[in-house]
Amino acid sequence: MAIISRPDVPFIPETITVHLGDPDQPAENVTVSFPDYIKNVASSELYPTWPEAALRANILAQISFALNRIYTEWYRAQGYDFDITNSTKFDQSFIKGRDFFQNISRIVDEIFDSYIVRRGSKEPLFAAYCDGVEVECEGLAQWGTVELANQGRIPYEILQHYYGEDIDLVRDVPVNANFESYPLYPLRLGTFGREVAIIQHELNRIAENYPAIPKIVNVDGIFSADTEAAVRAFQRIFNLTEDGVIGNATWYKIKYIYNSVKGLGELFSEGIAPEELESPFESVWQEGDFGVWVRLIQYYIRALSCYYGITPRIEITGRFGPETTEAVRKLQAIYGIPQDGVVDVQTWGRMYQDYRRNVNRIPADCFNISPIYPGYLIYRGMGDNNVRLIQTYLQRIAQADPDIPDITLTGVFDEQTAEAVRAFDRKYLEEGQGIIGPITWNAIVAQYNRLTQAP
Amino acid sequence: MIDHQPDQRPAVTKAQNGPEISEYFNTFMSANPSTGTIVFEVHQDSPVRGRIPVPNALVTISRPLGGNYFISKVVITDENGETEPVELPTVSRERSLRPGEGRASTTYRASVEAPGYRRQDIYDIEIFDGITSVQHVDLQLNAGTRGNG
Repeated sequence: MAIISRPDVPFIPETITVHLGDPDQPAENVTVSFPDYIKNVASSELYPTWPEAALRANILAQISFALNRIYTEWYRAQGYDFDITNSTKFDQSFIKGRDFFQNISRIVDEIFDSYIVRRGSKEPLFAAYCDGVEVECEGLAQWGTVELANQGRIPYEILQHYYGEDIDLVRDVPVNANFESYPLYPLRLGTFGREVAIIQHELNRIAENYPAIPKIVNVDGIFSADTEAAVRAFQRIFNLTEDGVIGNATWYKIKYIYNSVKGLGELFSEGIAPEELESPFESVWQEGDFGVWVRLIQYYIRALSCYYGITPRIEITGRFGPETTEAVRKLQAIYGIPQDGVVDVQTWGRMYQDYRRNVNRIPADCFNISPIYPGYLIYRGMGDNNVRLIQTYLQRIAQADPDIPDITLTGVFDEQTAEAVRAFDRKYLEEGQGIIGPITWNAIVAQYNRLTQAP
Repeated sequence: MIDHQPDQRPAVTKAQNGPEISEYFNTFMSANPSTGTIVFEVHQDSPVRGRIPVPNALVTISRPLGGNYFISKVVITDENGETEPVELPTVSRERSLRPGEGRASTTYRASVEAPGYRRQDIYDIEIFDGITSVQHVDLQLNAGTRGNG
């Protein structure tokens, strides 16, 4: 891995090189992924039976300590070819090849991209610690954290107790590796986009080595039911909470495992760049773009404009024109992010999360539609109340329209539902993929209302 | 009579001479009244195929009881290279919650064998009361073995 010299912003390295001895002693160097390093240190330094708040406080100190060594290039600057040692005189304990404790492992997967910082300073805190019984030191006392946790203190308070009131916790620190950092919003059934397409590709590659993970049939960037099944199998095998949602921990676990299942052949020749992936999604949408996905983006922009009272409300035209750019700028101003009028991953992530959070507070006159689009794509294989609702509507529409096939109410988005949605799209919208996004949702609901409110 | 099903309780191997096995066993069990769990994840880093799980690897977990008696248990990895969770006797959790209570965990050793791979021995696997430990094992191909990985 290239060594990045004093970057402006601290980062989480993909790997860390540990010297198994004192700095001047000749000894083996071991390179491991950063989360695996922290799991090893925490399993070597702590007892896994300690209260969770104590474990978390200690792990944050261990992460900050290691990141401080990397950020300041403590050993590299002295001409050594490693980042840290495993000597407890100088650094923290690391025992090559040892077992990890599962509870510690789960905490690390969740928080390895967080660290402690002194307010007003940038570098990860040099979070010194010792056991507090055999050895006394300035800094955190490991046994003391157990005491504080038993008194009901949370990890942040425990850290403040030892390192001072003026510390902050920095979260979601970028991971400096050949993969993207977490997109800041969880990927779950019905979400879509470039990140989903990449994750699907990676899960399918992992499934080649781990056949218990079912293959995802369409790597199309839509988080489908079979994507969820693959995520659940992955979580089961790799000891994560099995919820079928790609949060921070699952995201990075997939990335690290994907990197480790790739053989050398793939690293040098077959390695697939994300931009080569077939996906209907661009990484950014901007003025001049057009098509069905721009309509989708415009739907979100309009909905949020209504919510924030931004005027004028844009029309959903499928063409990304100057009005759309202007509306995006206004939303970006509200989010406090650069106002470039371009819908990039960050802007999209904020809009998407914002919509999900405020879907019930969008003014009724925004679309003149009720119920409003729930905020996720409804797609084959899904089954929930909204699928049932749409099936009810389609049934009613089919009664009045011979072009729409009648369907049975199953509560699951099955083949007959997809067929009816495609027929509806063909008849009432220009194009359709048998997927219910906001445009199709609005059209179905509007048609249903027309039929049921007719005299 | 012939029954090689892995026993749910730790098996005890008989040595030739010395004190009664039950003495060693009872001493060990009274010092280790609690239970912890271990899972093994066995894989190989293949230069061509990347990290691949090793199924059907034989994992023998053991600990000497004294007098050449051993407590041991044998498990086999599944298609993901994982063993079932194995429960093992260990010291009480109380010992790890306050300083100065002596040994806070009980350690075991394991040997991992699979056809085509070099046997690997692992020492000092720490088992804590009520905690699941995960031991990764990275097997190396046997020198001279062809056509594997």
